[in-house]
Amino acid sequence: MKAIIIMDSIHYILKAEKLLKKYGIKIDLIPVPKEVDSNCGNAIEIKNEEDLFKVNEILKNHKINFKVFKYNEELNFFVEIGG
Amino acid sequence: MNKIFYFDNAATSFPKPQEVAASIYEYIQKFAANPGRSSHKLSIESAKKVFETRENLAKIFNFENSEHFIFTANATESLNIVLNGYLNENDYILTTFLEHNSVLRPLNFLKKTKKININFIEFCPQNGIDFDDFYEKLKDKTPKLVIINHASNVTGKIVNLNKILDLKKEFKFKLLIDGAQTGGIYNYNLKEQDIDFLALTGHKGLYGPQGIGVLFIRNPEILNPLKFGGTGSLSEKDIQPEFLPDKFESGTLNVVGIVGLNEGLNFIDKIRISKIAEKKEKLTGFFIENLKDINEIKIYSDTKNNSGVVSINIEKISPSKISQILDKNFNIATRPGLHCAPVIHKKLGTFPYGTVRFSFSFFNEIDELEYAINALNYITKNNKN
Ligand SMILES: Cc1ncc(COP(=O)(O)O)c(C=O)c1O
Repeated sequence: MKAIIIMDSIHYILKAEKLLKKYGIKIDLIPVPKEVDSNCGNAIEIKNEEDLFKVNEILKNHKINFKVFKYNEELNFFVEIGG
Repeated sequence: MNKIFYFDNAATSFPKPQEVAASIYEYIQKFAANPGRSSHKLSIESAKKVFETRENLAKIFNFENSEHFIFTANATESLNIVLNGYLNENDYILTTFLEHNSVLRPLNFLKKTKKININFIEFCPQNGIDFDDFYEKLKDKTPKLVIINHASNVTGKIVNLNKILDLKKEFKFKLLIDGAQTGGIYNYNLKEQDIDFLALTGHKGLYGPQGIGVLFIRNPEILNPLKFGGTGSLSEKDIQPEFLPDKFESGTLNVVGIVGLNEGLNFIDKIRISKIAEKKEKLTGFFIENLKDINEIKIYSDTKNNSGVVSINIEKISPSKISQILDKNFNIATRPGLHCAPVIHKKLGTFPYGTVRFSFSFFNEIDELEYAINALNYITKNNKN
């Protein structure tokens, strides 16, 4: 199951990428999936879902606004789960 | 071409570090897509260059969050954003006689359009501004904004910023610093130094190309943008985003300039700002000490807290004539006249002809100054008859 996070603009995507990599979290920069209504065209894919809690904490500590989406196989859709 | 002795670094630094030119060439050849507008590889690479440069600014100017550094065209635009976006009808502001036209002209326009009330802190050659007068004026009335040119582009005098910040603690005004002449020369610590707005330009002490500037904004909520438009974010909304840096960065950025600026920043970071300041101190010290021996030369700068600028005049020759002779006969580049700062020249008694300004960079060497001193000696002697 995939999880992605999106932000207001590319600046925060790159800022989050730098931070999350520093904390050793496996991520990828990807174009926003078409089902997700996003502002800036890019998203960060979190490779291991177990990292989501840590990701949440790190981004909040750095006052970065974000939204988390998880892919729901039954619905074949990304569902917003917080941020 | 024969060697040019370039002493016009307060206008624009030259030469630039080799990496500045190389990075711009590489960018145009390999990456030059629109940053933050698309999600293809090249667009992201381009956005990464912008991000990296912003992070570099935050590192060098000691501030945690890089989005508080906005890219502009130059110091002039940075100053205009703050003056136009912060001041309202009938506001009272305090500024100095050291200011450049990039502050004086917008202020005089706002005096007409918004009836702002402008007051000047007295000039003092030793410190740039008279701190007693500053204190008295603050006691009289708290200004909405204090605008201070951190270093005079005419005399090189660096104003004591920490003393200003002490007064800010006491009187609680907002502060706009014109750092056009001090960026890359003075070591800012924005985490500790409570500057509200810092205007910078890329092409002087930051060793970048022309056409790129920076504005540091501590509290974006109190400032309106000068430009509104596309940011690549919140495109579904037809109102300007409120978050940084997008609130103040409408329109496609000057990434070519940003990429070059980044290498300029890497250069000063590698050498260290303190070392750059030390070298300039050595150069200005040497120049001033040697010119003192020439009776016909009047010097308007001193060695204390100098950003690397020496203004002079020679008896009975106009500044423009001196500058012309230096250029034509000696390949020495200087800048004569008023240096876009007419009011300080009035205080120095050099209005309207101005002075001849020598301004140094990290790339200048003592032997170049010796050559310039000899040239000035020659001009002085040959003017006698
Ligand atoms: C003190 C001062 N302020 C502002 C400026 C304007 O810089 P720019 O021409 O890069 O906008 C300059 C440079 O000319 C300057 O010396």
